[in-house]
Amino acid sequence: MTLRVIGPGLQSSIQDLGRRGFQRFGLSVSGAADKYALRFGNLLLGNPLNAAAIETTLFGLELEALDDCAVAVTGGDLGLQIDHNPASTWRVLQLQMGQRLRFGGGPKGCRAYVCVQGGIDVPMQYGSRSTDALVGLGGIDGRVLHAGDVISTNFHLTTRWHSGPPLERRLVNPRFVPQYVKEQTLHVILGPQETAFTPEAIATLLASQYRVSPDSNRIGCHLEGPLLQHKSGADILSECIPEGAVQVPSAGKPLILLAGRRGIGGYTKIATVAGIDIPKVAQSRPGDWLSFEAVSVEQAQSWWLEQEHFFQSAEAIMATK
Amino acid sequence: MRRFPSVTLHPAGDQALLVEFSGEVSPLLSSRIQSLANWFAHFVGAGVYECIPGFKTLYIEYDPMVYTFSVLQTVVHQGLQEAQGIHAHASKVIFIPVCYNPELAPDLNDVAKLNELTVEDVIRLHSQPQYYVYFTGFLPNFPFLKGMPQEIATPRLARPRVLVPGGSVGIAGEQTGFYPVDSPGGWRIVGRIPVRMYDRRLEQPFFVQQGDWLQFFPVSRQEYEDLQALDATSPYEFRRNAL
Repeated sequence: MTLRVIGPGLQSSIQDLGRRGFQRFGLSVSGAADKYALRFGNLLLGNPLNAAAIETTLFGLELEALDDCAVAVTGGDLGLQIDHNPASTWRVLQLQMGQRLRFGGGPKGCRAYVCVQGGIDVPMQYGSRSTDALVGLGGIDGRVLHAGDVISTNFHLTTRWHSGPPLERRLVNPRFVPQYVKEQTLHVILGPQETAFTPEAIATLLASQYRVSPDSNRIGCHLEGPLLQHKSGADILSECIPEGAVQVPSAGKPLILLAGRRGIGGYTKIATVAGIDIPKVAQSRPGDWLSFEAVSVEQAQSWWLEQEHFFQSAEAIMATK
Repeated sequence: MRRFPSVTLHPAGDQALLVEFSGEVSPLLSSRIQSLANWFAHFVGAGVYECIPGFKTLYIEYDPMVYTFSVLQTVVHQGLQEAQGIHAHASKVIFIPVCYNPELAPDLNDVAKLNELTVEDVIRLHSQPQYYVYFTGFLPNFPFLKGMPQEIATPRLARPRVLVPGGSVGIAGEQTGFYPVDSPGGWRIVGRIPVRMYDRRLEQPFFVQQGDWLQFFPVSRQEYEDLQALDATSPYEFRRNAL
């Protein structure tokens, strides 16, 4: 099971669920920006949920199957085609040797995941296969994908789905496929530095719509909209930054940090996006609108637990012979 | 008995808790933060992914399937009680060669001019102190230091460079440090380290650690070339003094 990269597209890289436990040594967590989509792709194929896949952005990635292989593409609708015919996402696809899979650009979402049966076989470094291109770890030679790269899979890791629907008929119940609409509300937990902002700034954040700027990437989602005022300065002593942090530098424009961020920063964070809503940020494309609604940490954690239980039981059911 | 200063606990999203310590930033406060991190490493297993120190904070990343925010708060308070007897790890002084040659240090002249000093003054002032490593992060072996002489404090560049070569030693406001690998950056570059500061040939590549002290020592352009050539064949062994 091997794929060759014909065209690398935009910011395409190999990612899994991330490299945890080394932030204090300066290694970024990295990992898929939209872990919900990655996990569903792996679930469909019977892979471990943290198996590595290709994350690509908007359009341009083109892959050729060097032998027959099963793949699942999840995430945004980026105009997936097989040999120039439209193909479905969020389901298993059987590629024949020589067939080409391509993202021509589509209407919804920003990132897609090409998951392969068994997961992508690149060396595990510090507990993860995720690409951190600045430090040169993970992926193929620690870098983003280039044309000509050959990607092989860990087929032996596929141990699940001994029963149930045959591979090629598996698809995700549409109820669980996100809508990727142009206007999204993000649930946020205020802080950790909400007290560095004026009460008006917090009211503004929670009452306004922000537009996703074209400067956005997997490091962060840059926003345009009403400026947020600090009480006295935007800088704090550097500290660790969570995924989903809504950071506000002195110019007053918020920026939501994503999986590709470096772990340490010195700007105030007015709020942090709830774990279950981070995929919405990862899938918003330039021009989309985001708004914010404050929830308690308890509420956010109860939603997170519900989702984790879902993935755990789905994984358990699919592992049953 | 050593007392912990008071702390404030903040949620940092639904999967991290930030412990903010009161009091001035100091090596003493930093060793207390390290003690709490060590307590977590020793006594809290599954459920806490990592504890990451800052100047005045400890960031605790956790799995909400194991700890809710409120349960973790009580664990932190227990840790603060029990960590008082736990020592921070043994620290060392690491001596780091730096070539302060304008060809390798594009901002050295500006730092001197802006502070009305000679280039020699800047080199002397920069290489004089032993700098305390409050914590590392951002990039491998990237140290967060304090203690640079006020006389050479210089604002960051108005326009950050797209590429700063790995090993570049810089000044940003009252901070100093170095870029361990090639990266974009806005610090004023005043010197260059001839040897790799992130060396994947090493079994333990993360050798700069919280609680260490760094001392930069000037080397000539010729020594820079020689050290660089040596480093290409085998990893440079930094002189280290145990404290």
